[in-house]
Amino acid sequence: MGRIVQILGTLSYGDAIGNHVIAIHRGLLEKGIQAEIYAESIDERIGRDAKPLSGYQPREEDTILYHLSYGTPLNRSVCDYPGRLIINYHNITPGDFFRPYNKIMADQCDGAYRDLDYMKASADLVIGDSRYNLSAMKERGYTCPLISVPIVMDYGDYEKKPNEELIRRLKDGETKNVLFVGRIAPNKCQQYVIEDFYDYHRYLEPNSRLILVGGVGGNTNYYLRLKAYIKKLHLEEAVIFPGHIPFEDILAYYRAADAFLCESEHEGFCVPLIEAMYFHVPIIARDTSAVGETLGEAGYLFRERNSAKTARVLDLVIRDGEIRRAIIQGQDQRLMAFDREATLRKFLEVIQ
Amino acid sequence: MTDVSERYINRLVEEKLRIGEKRIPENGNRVSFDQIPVIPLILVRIYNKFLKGKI
Repeated sequence: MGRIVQILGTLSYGDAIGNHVIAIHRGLLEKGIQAEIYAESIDERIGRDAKPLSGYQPREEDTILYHLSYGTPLNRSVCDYPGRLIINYHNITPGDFFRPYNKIMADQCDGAYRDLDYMKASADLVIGDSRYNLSAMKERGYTCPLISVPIVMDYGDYEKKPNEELIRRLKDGETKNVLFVGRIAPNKCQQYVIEDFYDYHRYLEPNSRLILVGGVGGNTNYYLRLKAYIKKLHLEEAVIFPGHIPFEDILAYYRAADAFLCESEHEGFCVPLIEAMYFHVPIIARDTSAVGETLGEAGYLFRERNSAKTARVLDLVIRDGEIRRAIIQGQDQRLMAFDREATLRKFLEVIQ
Repeated sequence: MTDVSERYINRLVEEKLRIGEKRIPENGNRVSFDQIPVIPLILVRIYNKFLKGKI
């Protein structure tokens, strides 16, 4: 067989897609298959695994594995290359979430959905991180094979040394730490996490804090509105936005968390759920988009928003040993479905 | 969508909630996020230019 060439707009160091791309690349090389990675922008810490896209010399016999997660002209130009095109679809957030805050970002997202339509005629296979992701392709009339394979996780990173000092400060023996991890973005609905936490903090456990880990990026407007909301609720002392933080701090927040609360309305997979499972943090999550699919039978899942009830569940999950143990046990089992070697093996079988 | 009522953890939690004490008013006395206006673009620009990373 010919080369397998992975192409993407941006190859970041240490993020979920970056780790996934590198894991596939190394897996292919180990099997003796010629493999290359090309990207428009490459984090310098990636090293020699990836090359600039400008240097790509297309060949008829190439299989292109294109990673699609945002709007970029590359979504269309990748269709011009000869060879077999496999799209690995990591999801695009619908523009409507961003429209009240950032019209440019909203237009980019909507443009990316139009790119999906454009790419339909060229795709030979689509691999989605979840069945939910594939449903978007079906709705858009994709007729090529659609296969769901989870993202290949790199658990080795989670064993790196956490910020011990931060863990000590967070785990003071009294304060309950409620965590959500995800960029500050309207589709993640941090406002509902804050609303749930308000009820928990005010009526059930005043000795508690909410930690909303995630970069703000282009969502300053949404972030400032969240800050105004927190002020109105008098939660300034109890809600923390650590912002863009070193990885050792992220590890510390997971290790210190008493519960993970997710109210997100749009996730194509939701890697932080896997991370919370890995760190044995009990999960309470709203069943939207791919969230229920990623959790399977694990965690506490709810459909309807009701902050008073979610606060009571939060309290129960944190205080009640039986519930806590049962949730963590279920999550440990669920995590096995995302075993690195098994998902990598499945991925390599599918793309060959 | 999942049938959440069929999940073991959900049933366990619901059972404990039933016998637990409700101490939160259903509608709370909380302000809703919808009552907070979207920040005008000019203020966002000022924040991005002068205050980002400082507050």
